[in-house]
Amino acid sequence: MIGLDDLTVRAGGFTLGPLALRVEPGEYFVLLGPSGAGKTVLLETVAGLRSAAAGRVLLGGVDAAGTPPEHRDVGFVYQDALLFPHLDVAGNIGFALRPPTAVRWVRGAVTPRRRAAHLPDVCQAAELLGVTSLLRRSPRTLSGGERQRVALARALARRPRVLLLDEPLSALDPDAREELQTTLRELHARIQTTVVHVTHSLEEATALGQRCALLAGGRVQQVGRPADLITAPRTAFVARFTGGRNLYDAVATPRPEGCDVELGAGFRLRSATHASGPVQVLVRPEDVQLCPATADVASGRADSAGHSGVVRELVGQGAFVRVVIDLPLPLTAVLSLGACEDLALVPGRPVDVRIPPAAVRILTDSSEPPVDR
Amino acid sequence: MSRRDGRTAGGSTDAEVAAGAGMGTHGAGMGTDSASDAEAALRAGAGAGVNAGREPPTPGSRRTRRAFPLALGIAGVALVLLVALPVLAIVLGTSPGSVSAALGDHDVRWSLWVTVMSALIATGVGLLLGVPLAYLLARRRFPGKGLVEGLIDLPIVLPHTAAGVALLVVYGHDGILGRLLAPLGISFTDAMPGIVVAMMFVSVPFLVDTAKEAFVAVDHRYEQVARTLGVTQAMAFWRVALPLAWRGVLAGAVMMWARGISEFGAVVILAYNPKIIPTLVYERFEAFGLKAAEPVALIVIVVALVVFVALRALLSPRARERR
Repeated sequence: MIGLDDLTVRAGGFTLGPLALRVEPGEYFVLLGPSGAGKTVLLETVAGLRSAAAGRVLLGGVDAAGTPPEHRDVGFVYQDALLFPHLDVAGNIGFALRPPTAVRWVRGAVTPRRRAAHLPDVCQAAELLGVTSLLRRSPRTLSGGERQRVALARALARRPRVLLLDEPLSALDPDAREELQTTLRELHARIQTTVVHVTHSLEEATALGQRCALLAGGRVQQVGRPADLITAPRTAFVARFTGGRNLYDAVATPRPEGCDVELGAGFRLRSATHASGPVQVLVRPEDVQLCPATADVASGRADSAGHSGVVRELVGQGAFVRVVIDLPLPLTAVLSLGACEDLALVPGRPVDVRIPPAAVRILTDSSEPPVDR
Repeated sequence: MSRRDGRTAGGSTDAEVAAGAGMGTHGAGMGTDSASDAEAALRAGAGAGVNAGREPPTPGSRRTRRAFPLALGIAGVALVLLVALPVLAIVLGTSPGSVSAALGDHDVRWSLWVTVMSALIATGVGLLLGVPLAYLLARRRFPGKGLVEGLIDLPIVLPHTAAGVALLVVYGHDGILGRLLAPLGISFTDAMPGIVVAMMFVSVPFLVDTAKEAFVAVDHRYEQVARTLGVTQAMAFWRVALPLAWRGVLAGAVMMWARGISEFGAVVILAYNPKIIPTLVYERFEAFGLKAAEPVALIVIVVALVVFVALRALLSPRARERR
């Protein structure tokens, strides 16, 4: 449905691209990336609100260059909803459907029947987003979640081919965010419109995206299923952005069922992935298993996945705790609060660490330096 | 007051704080024997720090605190009097009889009509040409934009008699536009079109600047959203930008109109006749003295006041909430 061919966009001193992407018809595609990555610029270019310096935007297989936004058949929802404050909710939703009064006068079309001709579409869009009871309200009186629902209804009222969402959940409180996330998921399942959803939140990407692209510095870092970005990051940047914390430079020695990786300082891990030579290794914090210190690991009688370390610090993260352990190298683990209390972890106390070979991931592109040294 | 200030943030007395400070020193010297000792030392230390850094309030500092608001008040009252006194003097000093006589005077009524209508026409033309320019200046960057903005504001800094002379060069009998439009029967010298042109020249910056600020205050993304909803650039202006900026545009138009009716310097050089109210006030003052000028001046002051009060009521936050 959307194709970007070597697209380059310049916005002030920032250059987006060149980048190539494909979004399939009916797909829920998430553009993920940190602030300043160029996500909004990309979305505005697809909508025709910015022009490309080079390359092409294809909509439905047709080059959209020269097609103004009003003829691109896309719906756009900004983070702050941007409901027209001089119109009520019905006026906002019906904005795209109803020509202004002056134009209708000129066309001689102001008859009571025609005046109300757009109303079924307004009601349908309002019903779809559950805002029927708000139709006569002013946007000023709505909550953040309601505003965003009305903005979605307004964008969908025209039944666009593509829905472009620019951080639609970022300005909402956690409850409203979760509620709207569910609505978006159900809505997409129901109407099957192609959606491009921009966000900096990995949680949103995993909750909604069928596929996603991680954008940084105006370039695409990796495209794939959200789970792929987490479990098989291509670069250290992708690994860090998706919550990876234990990134190390290492040297891999092949073994029949994978490889051994030497991380320096005598710290060696076993990986289930085949590799040899210099590599970058990622161990996700949630894959690290902790257990009470026993003599087995300390005396070297445990298997190759077991290590003995000392707890350096504990940092609360809501229902989870981030535990930093001094092995020969620092290692971060994430545990549930309950598990942390069961293990009676205290800074300075020894703890045994198990890292299964499947959790020792080898990055495919090691051109970027890791940071966890 | 000083008794109350002598207490720490935690509500302890001076004596408690002194004892606490001692504990703090002890704790630091001995190392933290227990967590509760260390906490107590920290709390006491913080309390002592707060107390030590506070000067006891003196009557002098209270005077200093009051001096600044007082100075602000005095300056404000002086300026308000400076503006209000002449207006009050003319309102109170003019007899109702002389005002009603002036209103019965055909010349005064005709002047009032010419003044109000010329300023209205000037404002209408200003709206037609100035609002698109204001929108352009608010939304686009283009080469020479700074120059255009400077040129538009030029009449504000020009002496108005000089503006009148400049207008005469262009719109006079021998001026470029004067000659060009003469065959169409449009004359600017000593005619209403001249008054309109002079009023427009000196007052249009107020409209353009105010309208531009109003458009700048409207988030341009509203128009972007409108365009993705299928409306053209022109319709996005008409249906979104203008309805959101209309109060600013209206304020600019009223300011332009008010500035127009008060113009004298430029008008008197380009079109002494038909006489607008400022010209008539000047003529009466020159020919018959202060008493003859007062009722005419009062009439124009009342007209201007009524318009301004109406505008302020329209644009007040309370009125905005009601809408």
